[in-house]
Amino acid sequence: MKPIEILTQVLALLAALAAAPLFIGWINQCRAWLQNRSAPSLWLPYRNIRKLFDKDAVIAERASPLFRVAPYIVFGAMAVAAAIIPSMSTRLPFTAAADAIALVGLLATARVFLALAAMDIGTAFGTLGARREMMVGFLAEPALLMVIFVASLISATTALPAITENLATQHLGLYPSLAFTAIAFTMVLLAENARIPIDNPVTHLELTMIHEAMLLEYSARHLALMEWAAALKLFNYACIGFALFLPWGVSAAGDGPGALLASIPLLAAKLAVAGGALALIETVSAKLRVFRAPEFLAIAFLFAVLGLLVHLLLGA
Amino acid sequence: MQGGSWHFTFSAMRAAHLAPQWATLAFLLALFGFGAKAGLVPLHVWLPEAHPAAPSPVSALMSGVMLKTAVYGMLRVTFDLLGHPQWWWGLVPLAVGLFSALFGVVFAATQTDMKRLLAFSSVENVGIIFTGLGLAIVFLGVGMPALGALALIALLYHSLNHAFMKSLLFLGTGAVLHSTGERNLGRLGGLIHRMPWVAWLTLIGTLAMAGLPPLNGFVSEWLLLQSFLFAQDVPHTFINMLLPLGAAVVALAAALAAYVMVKFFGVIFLGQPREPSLNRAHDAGALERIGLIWLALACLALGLLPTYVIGALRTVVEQLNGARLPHANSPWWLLVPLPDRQASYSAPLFLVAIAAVVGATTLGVRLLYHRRVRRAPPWDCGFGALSARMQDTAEGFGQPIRHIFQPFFAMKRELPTPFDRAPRYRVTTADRIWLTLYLPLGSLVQRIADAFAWLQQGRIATYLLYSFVTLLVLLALVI
Repeated sequence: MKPIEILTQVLALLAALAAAPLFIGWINQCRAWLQNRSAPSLWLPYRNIRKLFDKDAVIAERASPLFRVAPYIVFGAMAVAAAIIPSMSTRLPFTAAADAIALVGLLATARVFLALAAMDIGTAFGTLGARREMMVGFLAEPALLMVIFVASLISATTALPAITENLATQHLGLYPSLAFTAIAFTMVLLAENARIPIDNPVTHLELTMIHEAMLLEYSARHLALMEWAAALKLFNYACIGFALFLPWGVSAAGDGPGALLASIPLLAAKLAVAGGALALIETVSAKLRVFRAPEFLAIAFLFAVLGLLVHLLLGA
Repeated sequence: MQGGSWHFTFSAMRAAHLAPQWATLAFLLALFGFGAKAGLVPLHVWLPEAHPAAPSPVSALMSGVMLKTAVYGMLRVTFDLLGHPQWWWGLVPLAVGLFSALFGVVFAATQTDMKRLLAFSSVENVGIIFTGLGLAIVFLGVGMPALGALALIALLYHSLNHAFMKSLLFLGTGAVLHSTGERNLGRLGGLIHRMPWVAWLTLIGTLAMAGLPPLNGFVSEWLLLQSFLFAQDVPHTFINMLLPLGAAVVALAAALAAYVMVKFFGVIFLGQPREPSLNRAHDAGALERIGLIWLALACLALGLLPTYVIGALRTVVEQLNGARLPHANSPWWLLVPLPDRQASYSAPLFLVAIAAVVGATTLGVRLLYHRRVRRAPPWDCGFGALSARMQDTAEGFGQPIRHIFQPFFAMKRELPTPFDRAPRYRVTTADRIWLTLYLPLGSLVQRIADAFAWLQQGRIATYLLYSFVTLLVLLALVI
């Protein structure tokens, strides 16, 4: 392990932590433009997080220690996940400790802690949110794993950096199987990150919310960590998407520091385009009823299976 | 299996050479017998009735250890006594195992009795274990010993894991039962305040059972998924295509297991107590704590030190059928199942990373933004008075599963009309297999018995006549 690799690793982690709220701000801005509203500032998520950190925390009387520990664990899990995903460089020494399946497990850990914390106070909304979150989670996880399986079958490995390097260097063409799985992955991303059409990130209409329902009892620094973790989660999913479907321009082993520097604006460009696309999807679609969510995610799963069959039958 | 020698020692069976069709028959019969012992669907119906009925430590032994004797027997018969299994034999345990895994976890999600929930979760885990067995047979049959050994190791690892985590959970429920006298999830809740030791130790078992890293449940599932994924060189195209779908079913079962475990822990230990009597619950005594602690430590150790466990299992697999997992030159903290594929997992490093990030965050928040904490009544969107009845019940939490997996259940619903003065909502779910397979079978046996009941007349003269006629017939046969 060379010092430069460790430096890259730390840099990737810090970059993800710093850029995640900006990505949310960018999506919100794009969405406001598309919907003919005047856009909020790009830096609003940062101000929001800082404001929350500055407040005194109000915690429900019967909250257990689990409730107070959960934001730290959820945030920690998302940060570690950010360290696994090759967003700028594939030379991440920590990725030896966790492959793509472990990454999915890590995201599941965060989800379980979030749901448990939501059940801790024993409010109607908390348990409702926890139940729905776990429902979306168990439907989305197999679809996400299928997406990852297709990519790892193509590259014969489940290690994310190896997949990225392999896909970036082997051919410069599109795999038809990856086209199907990209659709599946987009649907999983929308569902897992509480975006329209499964959930609405700006809603506070009580009976329809999923993610927000779980955060209702949080305030101040705990809420700030949860919000930051949610931003990181979206950032992570976007970067997983880039690692699988847009792997070009990520600096690989043997590249100099110039390649690493060049990958930063490229990542920013990818994120800008992805944020715009996400805002577009959210503008043109309406929220589904909760019990349509299984159908939505079943379609995602079917697309992933289609990708798999295309890969196995045509070898493409 | 004795091959005509009529000796039933293991060595005689091992030496016997069976025609392929007889070997197949023996394998299927063994699967039927051991499957019934292990609780594979559709032979699972006894398990959720029997395991919860025992006292909790006995339930722990039954689910944790006794089910594994069936796995041991199946392994012994397949690899030791029958010798060279055909590759397509593996498809049967693979299919049955996958279905059992899904079926068990779906039913676990709708249970309202905490020990029945755990018993159905045992059905799921046995399903996963038999999936590994099927996979191993397929791989060994088509001549891929490294992958076969990997699948066998995943199977054995999962058996070991399940023994510890299921025992931990059963002992946890035992402590709750002992303290509250209540097994019904609908009358529990909020016990993390009254029973912190039991709650936090059970949480470890819960997370392990949900298959989350860096605990032990994840390692065996990871190994199983790896052996599924590296299966792309099986020389039968159709199987090649089906195997990743099997991996998807395993993933679905694992994700559902997380759902079940959130329900299990959340309803028992979190929220508000659903009965006033729960406020008198007491924490586990010192001995109970020791019983829980060593199991929780075992779960942690099995999760954090997989290389040592696999080193031990490797020799078992070699003795069983000579299949050998290639040695990886990796350090003790890094798990590399097959060295020629780039896939590795390191639980210790994983734990250290999470602990470091969580620690750094906590420290940073503490130093920079440590404002006061005020305790207040829960906000709940400002709806005012909260009662324990507003929380999800166990039925409520299982409702999405009931809705999504409707065909699995035989459901009876009673819905109120809008004009009911005293509306009642009732739903009962039952096991379709019990209704369609076992009840008709039971009534068939009853009818046969009824048909022969006229034989029993209660008069000695008639019975003497029976004996006399039997004797005559036997004599006629002999002479």
